[in-house]
Amino acid sequence: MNDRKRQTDGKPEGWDRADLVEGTSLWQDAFRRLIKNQAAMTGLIIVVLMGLAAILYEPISMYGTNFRLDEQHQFISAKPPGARSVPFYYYDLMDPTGEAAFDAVDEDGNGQITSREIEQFYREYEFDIIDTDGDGKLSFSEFVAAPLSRPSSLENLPSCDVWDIKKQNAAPLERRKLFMCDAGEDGYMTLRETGDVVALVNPSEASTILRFLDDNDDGALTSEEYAGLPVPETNWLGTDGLGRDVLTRLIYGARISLAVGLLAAFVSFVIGVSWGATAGFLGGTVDNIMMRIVDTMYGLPFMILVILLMSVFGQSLLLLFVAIGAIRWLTMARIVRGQVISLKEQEFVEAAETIGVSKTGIIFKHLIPNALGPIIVYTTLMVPSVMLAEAFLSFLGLGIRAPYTSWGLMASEGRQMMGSAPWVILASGGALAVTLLSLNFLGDGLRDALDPQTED
Amino acid sequence: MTRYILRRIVSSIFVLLVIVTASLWLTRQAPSNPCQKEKEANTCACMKTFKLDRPTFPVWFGQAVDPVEGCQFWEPESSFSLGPINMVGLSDWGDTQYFLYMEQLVQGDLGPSMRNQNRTVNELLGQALPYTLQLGFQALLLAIIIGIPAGMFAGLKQNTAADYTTMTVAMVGVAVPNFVLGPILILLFAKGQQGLGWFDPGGWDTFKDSILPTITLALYYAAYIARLTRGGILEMVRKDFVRTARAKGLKESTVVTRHTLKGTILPVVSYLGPAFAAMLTGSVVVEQIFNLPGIGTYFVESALNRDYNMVIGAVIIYSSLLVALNFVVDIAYTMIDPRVDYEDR
Repeated sequence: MNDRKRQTDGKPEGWDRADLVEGTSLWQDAFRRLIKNQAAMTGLIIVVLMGLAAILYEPISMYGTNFRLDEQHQFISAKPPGARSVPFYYYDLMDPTGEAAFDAVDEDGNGQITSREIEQFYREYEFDIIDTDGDGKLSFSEFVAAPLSRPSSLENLPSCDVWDIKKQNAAPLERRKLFMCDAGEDGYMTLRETGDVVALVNPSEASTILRFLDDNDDGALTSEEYAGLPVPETNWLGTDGLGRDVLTRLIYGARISLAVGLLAAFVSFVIGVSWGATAGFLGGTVDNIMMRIVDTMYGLPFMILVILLMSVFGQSLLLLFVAIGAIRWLTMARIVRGQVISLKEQEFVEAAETIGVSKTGIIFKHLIPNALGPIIVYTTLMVPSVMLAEAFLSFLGLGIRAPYTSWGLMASEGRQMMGSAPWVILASGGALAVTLLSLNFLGDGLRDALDPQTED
Repeated sequence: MTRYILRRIVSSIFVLLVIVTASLWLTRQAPSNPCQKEKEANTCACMKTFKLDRPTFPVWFGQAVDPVEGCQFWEPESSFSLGPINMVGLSDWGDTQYFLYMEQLVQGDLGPSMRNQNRTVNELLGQALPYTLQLGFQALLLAIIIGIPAGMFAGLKQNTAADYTTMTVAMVGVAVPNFVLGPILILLFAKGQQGLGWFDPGGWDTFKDSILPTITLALYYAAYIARLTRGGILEMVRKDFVRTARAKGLKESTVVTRHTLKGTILPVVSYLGPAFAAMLTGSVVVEQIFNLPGIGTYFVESALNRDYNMVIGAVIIYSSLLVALNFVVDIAYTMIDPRVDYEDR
């Protein structure tokens, strides 16, 4: 009262505008609390990074991982993290003057590079990398450290004769006894003896690479056509059974998983908010009937019906969004209705009515901003549950289909080759778990920020 | 109370009716039917055996059934058509697929399996049900046994290292989906993998075989219940009556068990209904991962196979379990919390 008087009386002595304490709105307050919540902010940052990776799949695939989602690189089995493959599409060419000069690759010197020579070149290339001491021969420890060699789970190691036949379709195994079968008498392997541990490309991949470089399609490269060979790139998270780069697929999977999460959450949001708000506003019999419908639907085994729906109509991405979105709106409708009903009776709404604020004004300036908190919180917490539902369906083979992929589908593929390539399910499951965890932390943080009463 | 129970029974029957109708309609919308993989000559006979040669419902749009060449399908004695809407005469309603199925269902017969020769759905699902039920109840029990004590422990020691550790574990439990957890458990504990080799990786012959699937299914709910319980405890310990109980010198253990626990348990009890529903769905995946002969395995397989009767049978069993359990949970709720007045609901 005093302050106001002083203001109307003109500027009093020692008064400055800066002395006025600016009021903080609910949202500013909430934002400040959210910023302070480390778990929620970490979650937010992770989700934003995942989202960026998902949006930037194309450039990341071209310039980052250098592999495409559906690009297959056959090896005897899935390649472990850190192994190398030669990309077909997004490759950098090696400098055609040094190690990869035309004459060096063209071993028989007939002026033409064949796919056989390309294969051989990559064997030498890989050999030089895994031969870490550079003495031109491979010791057992270098063999074990090579990305393509595998720890052997065999109880009884075969004799050298059996191993000779068996190794044709098995990844190089890192047991000294087997190593000695192939190594020379000095206990070292030469390039010729190393076998599949240096097999960066197989014959069919070598011809594929040749085809991409071969301008006149005559099945061989001449020195005019030759501009270098593609640089092998690392599969940072390994490959799956078809030799597809796991990291690339994980990034593409982020796109599908996050998109389904956001869109389906949006579908539930729209249905739930309109249903709940209508019931709350109208009240009476309409409200009663509408909420009875919600109660009844709570009793339905929705996921079971969605499984049925997807198995009947399958392969439709749109249906997937709608089906998952349509099952999550019930709680949203209840929350919104509860909010609307309790807010309708509040004094500030009455006060707004008294001073003649229009109905639209009340809805948009008073009801919605105040009801928004719980709605935002619930939507944030809905995204992970929707993502989980998508992953669940994809895991059953009822969601996303090849050539596209999602984390759920990758987990399903990973499960089938869990013994030989556990990194596929660990990577996809890990990505899913980290994202769900982040979104849950973010949702909890938002709830604490918007509803200070729950603060401990 | 009696009125409430009666009303619940009526609405449960209504829910089941909606589900049967919806799933009957859904299965018939599929692009192929169970007879399509038979040899050409058999399609007609097969469709007649399973009565697929007639309209699903008394009213339909467009064509009722895809005709099979050289095959005389069922014809209603009277029918109308109003533009695109076709309708069987009232006297023939009993001969449509829907009513025939309902007639069977009322007698407790789920019909013959359309893919497994000479087996009935009752027989097949009857064999599978015990596995699914045992898995579901074991998981529910495990979730409660782990979840409630863990939540109480964390809540009573709020903001200590013990609290943070328990809740971090619970958070991770909520975030790791069961279809990731299952394979990881197999990798770590099953025979034939690099891990410890304690359990068989699949199948279900002894109780031991059910341990990994139960853990896989239960962990998420254990974590969630722990979070719920902790929240409940934190709310309760601030209540005046708890302070009074402490003030009059009751032992801490008595305060916890007699005064705080009841209020804490309430949200957990009301969560059990949805939890069991989600567990049933989750068991579909867990059964696949561990190769268990439960209903979920049949359900997914027959949904893709278009074994109509099996699919609807499985859906009916899932829904009945769900409806029954929700009912039990609501009754249990009144017993724990006398404030709940069912006459209003």
